[in-house]
Amino acid sequence: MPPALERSDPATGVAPDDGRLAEVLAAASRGDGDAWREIVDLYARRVFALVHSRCRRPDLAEEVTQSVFATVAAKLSRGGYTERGRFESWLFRVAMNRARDEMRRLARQATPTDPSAVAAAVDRARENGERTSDDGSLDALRRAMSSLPAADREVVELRHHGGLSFRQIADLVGEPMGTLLARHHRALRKLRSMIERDAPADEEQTR
Amino acid sequence: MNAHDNNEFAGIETALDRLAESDRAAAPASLESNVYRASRASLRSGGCARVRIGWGLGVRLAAAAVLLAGTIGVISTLNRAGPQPTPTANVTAAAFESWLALDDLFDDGFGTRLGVVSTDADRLAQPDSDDWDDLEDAL
Repeated sequence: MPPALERSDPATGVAPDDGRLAEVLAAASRGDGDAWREIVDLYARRVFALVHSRCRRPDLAEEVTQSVFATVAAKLSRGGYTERGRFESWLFRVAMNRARDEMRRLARQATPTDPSAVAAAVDRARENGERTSDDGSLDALRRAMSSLPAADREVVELRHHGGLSFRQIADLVGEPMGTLLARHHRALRKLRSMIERDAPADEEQTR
Repeated sequence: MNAHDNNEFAGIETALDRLAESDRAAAPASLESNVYRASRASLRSGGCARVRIGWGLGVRLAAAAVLLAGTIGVISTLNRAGPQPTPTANVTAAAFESWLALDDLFDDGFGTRLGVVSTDADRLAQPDSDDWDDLEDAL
């Protein structure tokens, strides 16, 4: 049994020591349940956050997360992954692809919602004193995120929700580091300007 | 998680970290246990890739084996029957019929296409075929 992995801090994305991760992965690929449990404990919540950021449905995000880990477990067992210190990039690539597929599927099945029904529901919630979100500023940030180009949004989500380093993201998306940093920089600038632009409008509404 | 040296985006990066934290918090407390339970079986079964033979495929394979055995039997019988050597045409026809039967079984359409060619050949062989009449009219 390999030594226990320290939990990485999802907010900082500090990866566990590569050597120990490799040992745990090797044990898991031989069918060691405890080792697999450590992998799940370490990454499940980060994968969930990434998917949830896209779909905003906890039930669906959990379903997709389970399917991602089932895929990864099966590939590990069959020797479909060779450890070269790129497990996180690989795991999040699987997660990102699965999230993308799921969003496409949802978009195909979506039926148009009557905007007046949505407005009425929001009004009802306000009258009842409910909060429509965890935080108004986070709502604005979510709106801004959804208007980013897909590739820019992916980089931001992999960085903040997935907790990956820029090197890992570059590996995952197959772009040079410089291009990736420029993309991230551009995305942050866009987000900031969108939030600043929307802020006065939000203040007007709350008056 | 500030990425850029000049720190001009510190505010937005902090907000993004809070957003990510709120998405992580949306997960049920039992997330890890649920994911572990759902994926543990894949870890165990992933070791050996198994080919599952369904009921339909099994029946087809069995039928194909019977047809093949029958063909071999027919050929052997024809070879033994009578003092005259079996005409090669008979053997070839028997094999050909079996082949068509197998093709129908697997339904890849080759038998049908071959049947159409055969029908066309028959029609061309008839001197009073409509096609020949049409051709003569045209001339």
